[in-house]
Amino acid sequence: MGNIQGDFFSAKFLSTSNSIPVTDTNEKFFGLYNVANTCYINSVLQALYYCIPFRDKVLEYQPNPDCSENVLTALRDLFNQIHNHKNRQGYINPKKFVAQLKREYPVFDNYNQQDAQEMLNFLLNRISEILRAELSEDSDDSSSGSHKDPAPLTWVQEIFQGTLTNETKCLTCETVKSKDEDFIDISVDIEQNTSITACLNDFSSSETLTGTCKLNCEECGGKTEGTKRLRVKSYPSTLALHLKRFKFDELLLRHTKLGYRIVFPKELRLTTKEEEAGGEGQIYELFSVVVHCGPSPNQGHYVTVAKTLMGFWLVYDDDRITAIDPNTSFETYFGRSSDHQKTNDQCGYLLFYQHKVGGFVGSCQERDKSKEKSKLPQGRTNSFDQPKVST
Amino acid sequence: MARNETSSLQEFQLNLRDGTYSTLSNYDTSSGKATIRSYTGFRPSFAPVIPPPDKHSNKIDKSDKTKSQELAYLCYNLDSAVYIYRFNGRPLHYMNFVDRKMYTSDPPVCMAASTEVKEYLQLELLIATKSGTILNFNPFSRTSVYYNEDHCIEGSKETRPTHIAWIPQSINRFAVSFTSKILLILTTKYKVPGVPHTNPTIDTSHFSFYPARAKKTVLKMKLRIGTDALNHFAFSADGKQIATASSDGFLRLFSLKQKPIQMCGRGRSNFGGVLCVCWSPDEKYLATGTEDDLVTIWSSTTLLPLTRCFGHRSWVSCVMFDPFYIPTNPGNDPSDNFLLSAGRERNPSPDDRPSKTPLCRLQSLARVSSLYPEIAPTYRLGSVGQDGKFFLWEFSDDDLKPSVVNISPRRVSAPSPVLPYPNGASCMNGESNKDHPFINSASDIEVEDHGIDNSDRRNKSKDKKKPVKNRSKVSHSPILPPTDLCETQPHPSSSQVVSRLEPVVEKSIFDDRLTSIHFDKNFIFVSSYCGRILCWERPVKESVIDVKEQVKEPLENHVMSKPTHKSSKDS
Repeated sequence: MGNIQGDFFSAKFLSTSNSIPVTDTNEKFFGLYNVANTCYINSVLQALYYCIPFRDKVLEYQPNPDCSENVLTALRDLFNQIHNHKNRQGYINPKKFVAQLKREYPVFDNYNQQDAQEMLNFLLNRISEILRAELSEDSDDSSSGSHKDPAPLTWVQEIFQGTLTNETKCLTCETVKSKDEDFIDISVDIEQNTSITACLNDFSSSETLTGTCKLNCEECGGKTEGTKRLRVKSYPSTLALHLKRFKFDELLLRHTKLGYRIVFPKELRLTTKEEEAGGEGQIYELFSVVVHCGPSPNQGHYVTVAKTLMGFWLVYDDDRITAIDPNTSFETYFGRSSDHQKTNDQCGYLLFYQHKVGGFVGSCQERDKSKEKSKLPQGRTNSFDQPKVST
Repeated sequence: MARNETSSLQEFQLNLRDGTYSTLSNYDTSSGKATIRSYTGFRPSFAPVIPPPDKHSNKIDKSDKTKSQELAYLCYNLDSAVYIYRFNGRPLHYMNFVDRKMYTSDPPVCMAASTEVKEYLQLELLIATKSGTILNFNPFSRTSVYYNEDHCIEGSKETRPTHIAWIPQSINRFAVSFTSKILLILTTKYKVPGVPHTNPTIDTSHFSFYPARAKKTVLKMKLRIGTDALNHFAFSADGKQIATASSDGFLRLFSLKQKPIQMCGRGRSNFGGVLCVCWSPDEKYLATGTEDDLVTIWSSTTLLPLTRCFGHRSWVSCVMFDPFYIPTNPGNDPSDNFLLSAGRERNPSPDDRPSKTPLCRLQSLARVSSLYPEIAPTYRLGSVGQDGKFFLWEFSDDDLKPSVVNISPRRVSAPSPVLPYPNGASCMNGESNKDHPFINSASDIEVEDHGIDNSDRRNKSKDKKKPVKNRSKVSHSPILPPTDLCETQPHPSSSQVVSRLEPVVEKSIFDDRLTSIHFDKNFIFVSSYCGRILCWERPVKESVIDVKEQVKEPLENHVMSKPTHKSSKDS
């Protein structure tokens, strides 16, 4: 890897096993070179690239003419490099973006491994700030009044933002107070050998406020016992779920990684607060997972698992791309069930689900559509002698 | 196996309606050194042991059979080997196996032991390896017959077998399912492997059928089912119907009653793939375990979901009905009362069929049932999940009827921008959404979907339509009460149509995911991914007096622990 310079892949890359299946869409598959422990950046960028609404918005971003270089312009340039590359696959060195990122977020300005979720949060918030600044610049020109508007919604919010309701109920006087909070990702506590569905249910479960943390009820005029509950009021169209795997261990006085086995299905049905009684909910499909490999938050590596337009899954390990079968390979990304399996340290850390409009009718229709799209018969190898791949 | 383990067995004791199930043993087949590499993990398979023929005659002495019914062959795959043991309720010794076969380069992923062997010292064990090689292994003659060698029929690096099973009521046939959506039906009768036709004779979005090219070959037929891996399948007792569980979220029912094969119906999970499926003993119901952490009970004729069982905190890996659980029927004429007891009898009847028990016992039970007038549930379903939990669910036909629907006005008036596809049946919600402003997408897709069903019919020669076929037409009256309710609601919800069931037993067994549950005449087995088996023995029904005491005690426990298997309102 050290010998290969430049941004273009070598033909040798294609002949490895588990190569990317042949498609006739215009999709590009590019890995990102690891500069120095920048896999936390690479993995998040790959996951965001596979969020099609986000990718489209970034690609069409046009800054104001007098605007200086910022993370959003750097990101757009990077995405453009991938999207409009003349080759179908390879890898790119994202040095320009990484440099810009470190300039804008000094916490990352070193060679240490960082937290991918922190990276995701910073990037999305920063892009949102940039867009808002532009919107307010535009409105300053046109409007004269100095009224305080609530922060305008940018496309970052449209894609990623949802709303939580923090409900506190006093058990004495039964009054319920709600307060809404916006979020761009949900951080979920995890428990060994559970599914993301169970963890999300726990997230919305009631917590009793008693003893030292009693509720301060205004109606009753003092501290009373109560319940507190965080429920999702509305889900965003792209949902980012953060599994809280890094915990500060008070005995060891350092951060440790909880390698619990948390299974995540390829689709989820999520119900909001109001829909809960009915149980309908909306269907979300998994399109990307950022996986943390390694024993602790400071020592480790990140890779991204992503679903392509054609429906097959790829693993982006910095500059290496491998095709995988989710039915067999996802097992390695769930985590460790117990100490019996000592070898597997890879676990899903950030899960990205995309809202599916129209619900699901079963992917049988999609199969018919994709069958028409791909004209190649099953299992045919192309001139590069790629191994037989089943659809 | 330290003393710690034996003392903790107490906590696993089950106090159920028909007695106390005590934990027999907690086997750790790997002796703590598990390094399981197989994808489906550890799944034991059981087969009955046929006793040796009587010295003085060539025929098997039937009276001996019951004694040795306590014996079973336990076969399992651990690491890269297959182990076969004789199990008789006593602790297994690690090295005391009947046979062990190593497969170093190609580990076995699933197995099925034939339950239909009639001869002494015969065991036919089907083993499917990770690469797709299938073999029929007889440990006594140490012969292995290989099928699908070099993947001539199916298999490659990208696919692996998920389940293998003998087909009931057919001596030679067995079926294998793969992650490549394929189901193969093979026979042990012939030697020539055979290949399927390249082009399917039936090709719909839900399945494709590839008949074998030649007649007298191992391959009988090949099916491509669904759009994602085929995880599990279950044959009905007559071997003519197949229920399949796929990762695309569909439970599909196929019928082999006529040629060619037909798909009788399908049901969709709440979300996520279907991981396992099981028929009820009377074949009225199907139970599935899915990736939405639910156990769902479906009608086997209409494939409508009837009940959802909540409780698991992770994916449900195995569901099994207890075929040996048949409760009393109070309220009838006592002389018609059968007590069909599972469990070990001191004086068993000569044949296996249930028989009338002595009148004194019936009378004691009639007295008992008058004290506890609730109707005994007629089905028992066990489920194990990847959360390490074991659940038992008990229900009767009445419990599966949905509760009265309570539509809150708020929900009715607020149209949601997205209309998710309701679960279960493909037709019923389409018509009731007629007035909804955004249904067009759903109903358009609906029609398209039905078009596909119609093409299914065109491909079949004779089509004796069962009522279930009518499901696929868009506009017509629904069949079951649940759909009636649907018609009156503008916005049907899956949980309004489907009732909920509460578990009778919920136990965390191991800190490891559980892979399978098996009901034997005398035992219940639960196994974990890394090779541990927990075994319960069924309660012993001794004499009349004992029955009175025994039946009384656990029922008291039962009443005190307030079982709730009535369906509860959801909203």
